[in-house]
Amino acid sequence: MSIIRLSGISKVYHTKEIETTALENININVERGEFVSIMGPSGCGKSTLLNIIGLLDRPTTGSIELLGRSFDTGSDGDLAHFRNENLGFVFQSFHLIPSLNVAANVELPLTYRSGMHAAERRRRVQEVLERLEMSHRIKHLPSQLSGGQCQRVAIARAMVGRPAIILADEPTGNLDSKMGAEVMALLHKLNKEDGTTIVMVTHNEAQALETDRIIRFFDGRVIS
Amino acid sequence: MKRHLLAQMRNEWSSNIWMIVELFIVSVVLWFIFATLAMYYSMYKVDKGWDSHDICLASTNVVPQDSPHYHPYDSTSTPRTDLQLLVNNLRNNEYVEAVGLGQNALPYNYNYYGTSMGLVTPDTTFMYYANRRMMSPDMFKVFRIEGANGETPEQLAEILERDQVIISGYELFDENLSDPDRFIGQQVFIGDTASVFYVATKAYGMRRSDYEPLRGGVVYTPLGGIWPRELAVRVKPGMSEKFLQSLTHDDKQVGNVYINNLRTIEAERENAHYDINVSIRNFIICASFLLLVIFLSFLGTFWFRTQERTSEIAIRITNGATRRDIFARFVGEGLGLLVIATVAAAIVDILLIKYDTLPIEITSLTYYVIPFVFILLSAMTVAAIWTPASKAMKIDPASALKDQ
Amino acid sequence: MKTKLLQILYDVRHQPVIAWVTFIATALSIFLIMVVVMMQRVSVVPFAPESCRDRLLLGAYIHVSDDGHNDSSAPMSYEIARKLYEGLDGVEHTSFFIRDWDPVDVKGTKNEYITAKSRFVDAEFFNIFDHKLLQGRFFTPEEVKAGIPVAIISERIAREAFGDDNPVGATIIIAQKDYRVCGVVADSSPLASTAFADIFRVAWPENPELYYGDMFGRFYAGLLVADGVDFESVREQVRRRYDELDSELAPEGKKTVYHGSPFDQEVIGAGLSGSNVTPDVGSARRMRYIIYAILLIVPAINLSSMLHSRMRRRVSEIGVRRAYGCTRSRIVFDIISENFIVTLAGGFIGVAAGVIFAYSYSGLYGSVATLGPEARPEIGALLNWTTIGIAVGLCFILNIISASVPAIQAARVNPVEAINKK
Repeated sequence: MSIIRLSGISKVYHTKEIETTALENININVERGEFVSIMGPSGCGKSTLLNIIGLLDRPTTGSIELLGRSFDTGSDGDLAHFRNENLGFVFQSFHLIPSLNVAANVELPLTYRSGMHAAERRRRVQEVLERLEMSHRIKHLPSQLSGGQCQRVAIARAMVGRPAIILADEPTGNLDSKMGAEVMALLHKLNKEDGTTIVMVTHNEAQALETDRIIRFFDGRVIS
Repeated sequence: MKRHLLAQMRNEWSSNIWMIVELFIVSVVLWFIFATLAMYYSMYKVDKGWDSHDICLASTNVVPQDSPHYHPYDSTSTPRTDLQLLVNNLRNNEYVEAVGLGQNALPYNYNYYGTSMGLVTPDTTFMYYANRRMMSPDMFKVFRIEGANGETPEQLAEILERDQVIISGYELFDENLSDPDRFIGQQVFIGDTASVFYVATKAYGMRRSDYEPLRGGVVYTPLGGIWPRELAVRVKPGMSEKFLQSLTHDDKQVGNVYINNLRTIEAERENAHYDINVSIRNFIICASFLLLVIFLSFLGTFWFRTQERTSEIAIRITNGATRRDIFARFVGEGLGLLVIATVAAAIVDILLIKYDTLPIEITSLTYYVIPFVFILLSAMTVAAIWTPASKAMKIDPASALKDQ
Repeated sequence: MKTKLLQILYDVRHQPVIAWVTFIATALSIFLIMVVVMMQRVSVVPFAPESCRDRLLLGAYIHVSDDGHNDSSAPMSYEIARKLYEGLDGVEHTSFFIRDWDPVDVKGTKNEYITAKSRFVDAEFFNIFDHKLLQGRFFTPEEVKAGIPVAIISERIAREAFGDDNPVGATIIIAQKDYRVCGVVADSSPLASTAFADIFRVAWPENPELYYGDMFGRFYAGLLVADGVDFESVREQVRRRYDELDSELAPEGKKTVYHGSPFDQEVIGAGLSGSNVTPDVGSARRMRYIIYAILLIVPAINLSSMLHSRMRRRVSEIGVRRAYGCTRSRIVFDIISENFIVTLAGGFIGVAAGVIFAYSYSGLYGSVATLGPEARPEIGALLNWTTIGIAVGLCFILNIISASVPAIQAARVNPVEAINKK
């Protein structure tokens, strides 16, 4: 049973004069526990697709189903709640909140989850950071960390809510190759040990080859 | 890059709108405040026609007959002779120049002894409405009231000495009133037709407050048989406090007559002007506050701008803009916002004047206040933008572009 | 809450200029408004000897007109005061007294004159105003009726005129007449404009000093209204008495002009108007509201613009929060409440400065020449739950008008664009 089911997705941007088609009739299924990478040149619609899967953007046409639930409609509150419970995000430029320390950054998704006690949240944060070998940096601010450490914190943040799906948008794009490799290892570990489904956009052919499946994009269309 | 610039313009457009709205409100409010202050100032600057310095005031009293402290009189003395002795003693004080007595004669006293004066002619009776100030001739010397035709206080005192009266012009002329000059040199009745006086001349009318024009006229009349409750002393320049301290109990009491409630005219004035001083003070505080808020707004807004435009400024510098240009551009932007806001505010100001919606008297000063407010706000604008603009000026293009 | 504080501290450290601009504008705005609020509050808040302010009505002035050309108005004669205000239903105590005090020279056993402020009052006066009796007793109604020359003096006068001597029973010379001191009361503040005096003398109804003709004199009527009685019902009775008076005056071709007496503390506190005008508390109130509005709105625009700029710096953070399941309304709520903490902090400084200022600068309440430099309100009149409530309310309003627009704008940010931005 597919955990992600996209059928007939297209996305058209309208500006005053021009109409830009970012995605055209995309049909993709991703199975539970799969690690999928999406490749393609810049501007081919990869990130748009990821945002649509992440329910941050709505397709112009087509329907999307995550964990068997259809998202053709849904209020802001519904979507927010679903994202919070089931999705994790990793971004190229980390997007850690500069004013919060490592622990508070990781805790962020849990703070939007109703009914979870502070003690439980702290325990989960501690556990995740220990797993990622970042617990010694728990009180540091993002500005005091290296790029690789920042991305590890960002992954911790994505994991802490125990989502079924993690969406990663060029997670190693801002890192040198050594750190990039570390981050990739982490994502693989997450995929194997927890069975988390991962969809990753990347430019790195080598990294893509390590994943279960590669979806290649060109001009808003899947070409393989 | 292009999109970035557009976004920046849009973002700044919104903060520009905020600034213009704020400047507009502040400009209108400041205009109202300063127009009001200008109105007070022009009233205050009107020639009072008397000298308000170096005067002390007191009340005169008589010991009640049922008091054990009452001294019975013999045939030669009365309270009036006591009062005369008391006044003479004061005149001999080393600090004193003149001593006068009066009833409703003092300024800074909101009582109004309204009276009407009539000039009977065969055809009609002309009426003159006035605040009646009854005084001893020396009161003119105490207050140094001047005649409208340049008569000295001494000459005016002589007129009162002859039991003649002096009137003033009207400051707020009402077309229902007759021309005060018509009464000069005429026999008129004051109050009731039985009391007839000769109007000798015209003098400045003593107002009740420095911020209030004469409502009606003023008529200065001799005391006649009235017991004067008020005593005023002109002291030598700067000697008010010394004079008050020099008074002994014997100076203040002769027989059954005594004076109390001694105070300087400054204290009396502060008291009488309290309400208006409070509103002037509040207006000034409010204006300062608004100017400060404008200062803070420009400071904050342009501080952000400096930060956000670091790379833009660096590019300008590398392309040959001088640091002065950068500075001038920032200040120019601020003043540009101010000009837009001022134009809008000036339109509103003029509409408010035109439809007479404000509780102020409109004079030419009311209009001059508009550019004055603009200058004041410009000063604030430049002062506030100075620091961020200097910071922008000092941006090092090399490191700024590298950061980007 | 903790993360909000962290965010605020982070802003203070990284954007100190903006933080200070925000803070100062907030503090100043709250400071100025609170000074205006406290100025007005001091004139209406009950404090000894005017603990009765909430239940006090003051019958003041009579205005008589004959066919509109000749107007006379002044405080009342004793007879008129009684005719209009004696024995009204719902009134517990009625006092006929002289509200304007006289400057007098007094002498006790010490051999020098001192100046004091004297007021003529009756026995009922002390049932309305809670002057604290330290020694002796108050006046008896019989003493007032017979005009027995007795006086009650304040602690300060007792000290300055008698030193260590016992003043009660001693003679004091007031305005060249002898009085016997029957009581000593605690000093009171001149801010208690109706009850304050250094010396109280009996308001003998027949004292010629208190008359200007049949209708006019120097009397006012103090009315202590019973708990729960509507002021308007008392006024209604007074209006009927005015009508009766009018029918008595009709043969002389005169009639009264009614100006809304008896007045409540709001009118008294605003300084009572002239004797021939109807007090207009409405316009004073409107003026105050306009001042509040300007003092709130102008800084609010500034704060709003600052917050808007700050939010633009935090767009990507908002995008991430939205991605992780934060709803739009939660974003709005979080920004407004984060800003409320800043506003409260600024407001706290503003209120503290306002209280210190209102306490130490007596020029706020009247001229120093009249009140004396030591006239200051009790701290309790300035700092109490009402003023704290008003201050918090003001902070909240300031916060809502300055933060809601930027917060709603921030919540409308498209998370995709927010995340993609740099």
